[in-house]
Amino acid sequence: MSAYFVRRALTTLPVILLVTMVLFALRTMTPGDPATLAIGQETDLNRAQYQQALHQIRVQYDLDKPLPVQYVLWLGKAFVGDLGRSYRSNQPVREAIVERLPVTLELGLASLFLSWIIAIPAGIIAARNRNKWQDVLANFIGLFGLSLPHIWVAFVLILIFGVKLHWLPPSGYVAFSHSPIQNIRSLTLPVITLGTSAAAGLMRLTRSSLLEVIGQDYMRTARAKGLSEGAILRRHGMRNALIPIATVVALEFGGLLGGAFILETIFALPGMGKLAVDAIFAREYPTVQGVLLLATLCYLLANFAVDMAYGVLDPRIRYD
Amino acid sequence: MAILQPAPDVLLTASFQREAQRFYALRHFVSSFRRQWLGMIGLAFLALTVFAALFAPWLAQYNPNKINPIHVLESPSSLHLLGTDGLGRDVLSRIIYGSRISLYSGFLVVSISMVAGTVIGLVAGYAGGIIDTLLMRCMDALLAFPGLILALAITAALGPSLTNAMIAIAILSLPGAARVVRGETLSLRERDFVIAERVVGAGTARILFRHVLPNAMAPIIVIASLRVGGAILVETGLSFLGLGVQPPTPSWGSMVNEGARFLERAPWIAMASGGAIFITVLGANFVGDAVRDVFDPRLRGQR
Repeated sequence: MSAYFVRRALTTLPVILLVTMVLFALRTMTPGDPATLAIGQETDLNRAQYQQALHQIRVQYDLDKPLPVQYVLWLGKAFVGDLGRSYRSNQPVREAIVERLPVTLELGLASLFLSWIIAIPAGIIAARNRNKWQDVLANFIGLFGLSLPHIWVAFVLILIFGVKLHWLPPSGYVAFSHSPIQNIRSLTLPVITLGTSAAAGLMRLTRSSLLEVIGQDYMRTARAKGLSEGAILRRHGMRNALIPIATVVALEFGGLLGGAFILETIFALPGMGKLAVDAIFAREYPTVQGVLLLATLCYLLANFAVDMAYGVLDPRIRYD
Repeated sequence: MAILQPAPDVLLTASFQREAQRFYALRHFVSSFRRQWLGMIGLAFLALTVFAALFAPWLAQYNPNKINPIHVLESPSSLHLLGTDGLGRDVLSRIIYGSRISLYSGFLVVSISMVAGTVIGLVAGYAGGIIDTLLMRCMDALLAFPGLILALAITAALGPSLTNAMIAIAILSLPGAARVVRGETLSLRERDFVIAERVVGAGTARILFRHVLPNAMAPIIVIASLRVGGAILVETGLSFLGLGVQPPTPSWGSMVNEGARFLERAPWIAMASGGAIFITVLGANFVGDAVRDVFDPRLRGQR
């Protein structure tokens, strides 16, 4: 187990390095000079002062050094949590991210949880009633869910529950510490939008991996020795179907992050996604870079954790 | 050497048999697919979108970009079947033209990722060794990027460009096809008929393209058809954020965005454009699902 852990960690490291290289390369491809951008409105400087200020900013952000050196410097700083400062507001990027991280985490985890409690029971029901109406219906709803653009679902929900019925706030965010009830109310619509879109794929997967297991000999043996249907499903069925499901849950996490980026914009939630989208329009590349780095790291970590959990889910898996 | 060469007529019969087999396989596929009624509906939806994209200038009643200040936010009528938008443009005409952008995104992503992914899979599986390890590690690394987020990063760096974002999505979609093709190549490489081909002097390219590729075609088609819908949804998301196609070019995603502003006064704009996205993506998913049911031998005949 520990040997496997080390080996898996060692294969994840190059991937993380590759991700950082891509993010860095993208910054260097950005048109426009960051230093000019940072000076921005201060036009009362004369020519010499302007050049002086440009030079100062280039030194401050290491922009005067060759690219490989810039990369190593940036990576070293990012490693200790220094993601640079916003060009305009001069706020440290880490601070901006830390402020907004709880919103995105709350939205993402609540949606993930919602997708589980919908998808896994629905997938089990569909698999147990294979080719009966429950299965056909679940398959149909699943394909519908996969095909619905969630931006559109979001607007339909806002129109019905926010604008017409006034049951829930159409947009905006209230912190949990400020008012727990208002917090839940403000997140209900985005969580429903994101959770149901993730549930569709997960339900189809639960169904197909359980179907694969149901056909196995040990399931027939379990039934022959007189176990109840529930016990067969719990002890033999789901136990064996969990591995592919867990893998997809981890991959789904990346999709949820991407979805959160768009939904935060629609529902005006002050999360990481909104931060990144606003930063893209403002050409604030340090912020974009910081958010994307964190998002990909979270995603890699989730996949790593699931890989590690395989041994717990299925004791037959031996890492050697 | 000449003794090992089979007589020409033997080769001829073999190639005839192969053609016949291929013909029957195709006919079997078509007849199985016909029984998938959801797949047929999906095909009809997709055909509708393709038709709209191809014949947009003849189908659209109005110029999709013509601003008409007198007829702003008109509800659906016989003159404007799906009403008009905030600038008085005909919504139906814009939806018809918008199908071009959606299909373009889907086609771009799928064609790039399937062709390149197949080549990578073939090379990795056939070469083996260090080349295989290196290529597949790269594919694993690609899997680590969350798609939409990377597309956002690329548009942030290179400026809003749909083509750039879609190429990024295509690159991220490489691993799906590459893995399937590699697996197929690995298992076929050691089969008797492939070894026999090599003995009679067939080159690597011939073995890969005549024997390995046809066998890997089924999973590739399934992945491709399921990928189309995903690509269209990503385009929608990017255009919605204003990072995809730039105005005034009609795109379904940006139309949902415009419609969102008039959600209460003119819900038809968002409903119609969202509906168009939904029907097209649903069509692609129905087709993908049906193709998989036909190809997957474990599901075949049980439905």
